[in-house]
Amino acid sequence: MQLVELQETVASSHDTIAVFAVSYDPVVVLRTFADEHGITYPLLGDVGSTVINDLGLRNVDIVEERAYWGRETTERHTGLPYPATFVLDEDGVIVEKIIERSHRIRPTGRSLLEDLAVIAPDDGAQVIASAETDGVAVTAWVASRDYFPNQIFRVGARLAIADGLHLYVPPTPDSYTNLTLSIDAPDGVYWDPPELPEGSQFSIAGLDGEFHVVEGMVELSIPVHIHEDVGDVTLSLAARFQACSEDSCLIPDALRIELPLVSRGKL
Amino acid sequence: MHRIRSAGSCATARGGEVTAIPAVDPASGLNQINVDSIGPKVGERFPDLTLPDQLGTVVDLHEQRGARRAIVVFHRSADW
Repeated sequence: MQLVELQETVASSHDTIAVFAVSYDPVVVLRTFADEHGITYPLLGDVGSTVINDLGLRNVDIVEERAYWGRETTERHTGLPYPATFVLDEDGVIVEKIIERSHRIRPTGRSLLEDLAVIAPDDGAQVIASAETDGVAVTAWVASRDYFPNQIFRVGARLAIADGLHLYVPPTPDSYTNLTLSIDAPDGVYWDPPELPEGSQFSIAGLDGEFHVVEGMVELSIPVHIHEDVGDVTLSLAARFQACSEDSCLIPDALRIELPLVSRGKL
Repeated sequence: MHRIRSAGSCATARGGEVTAIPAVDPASGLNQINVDSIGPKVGERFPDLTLPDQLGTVVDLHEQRGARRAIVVFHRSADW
């Protein structure tokens, strides 16, 4: 659950970042929750959802969302806010805004700390492994061995490309193997392809067309969230690429890294 | 080998840019919402907000925040 993960990852160890949660609960409900889960940051109660409404955050899509999860909508559900996460800078200006389609799927506090550059993506990573082949070495990691179901965490990857070699990134003509990262895992594991760098433009003598290449070190991030029924699981990360020098290419190649994770279960 | 379903469930706005939102969220099947049009916008100062906390203390968000960066989350009931 996001409120507990935020306590563990942010509030308990990084008091330079303020954390606030807003719901429509009365104080007594918030107090019970805070005591049960050891929450030290403010849980704010907007009884009647006045503030939620004034901010334009009242969830009018709630009927459709609940129907998706197979539930009716009752009076209890009106006044719910969109499941929004805001990140504010030192002046209180919004620098990041994340709204999920479902209340259950939320970004982890850890990923927000990385976005805030409070912590490096591989800092203290509990699950980390490497593999290498001609010209390319890959290290992949997940910050925490335990995952909270439905919370979006990140699989990080760093590629080290040998001097004198480069890899291709889109857009690149079909005959060349672009860098791709993918995850093999059971049903219930959801992931987005990583955002690839734009690379630098590259021309090949005698060939038409625009090539984009990357060299040196490339860092990538794959957002993942896992359904609560999956349980303990190993994510198998595959990196596919073709390394070339100025005048010749190695064969297209791939590296695979296994990342075993444990489920925190339903909270 | 099981099939993987790609997520695309995360719609985010960062620094004023809104990432491309597919028409239907593949992970949940729900129509995507327009993140940018809901609530306070990226680049704006987060509105003033004063509400009671779990101890009954009235908290002014920006005052409590001070000069720190902040994470503000909106969620359904802590009772669920």
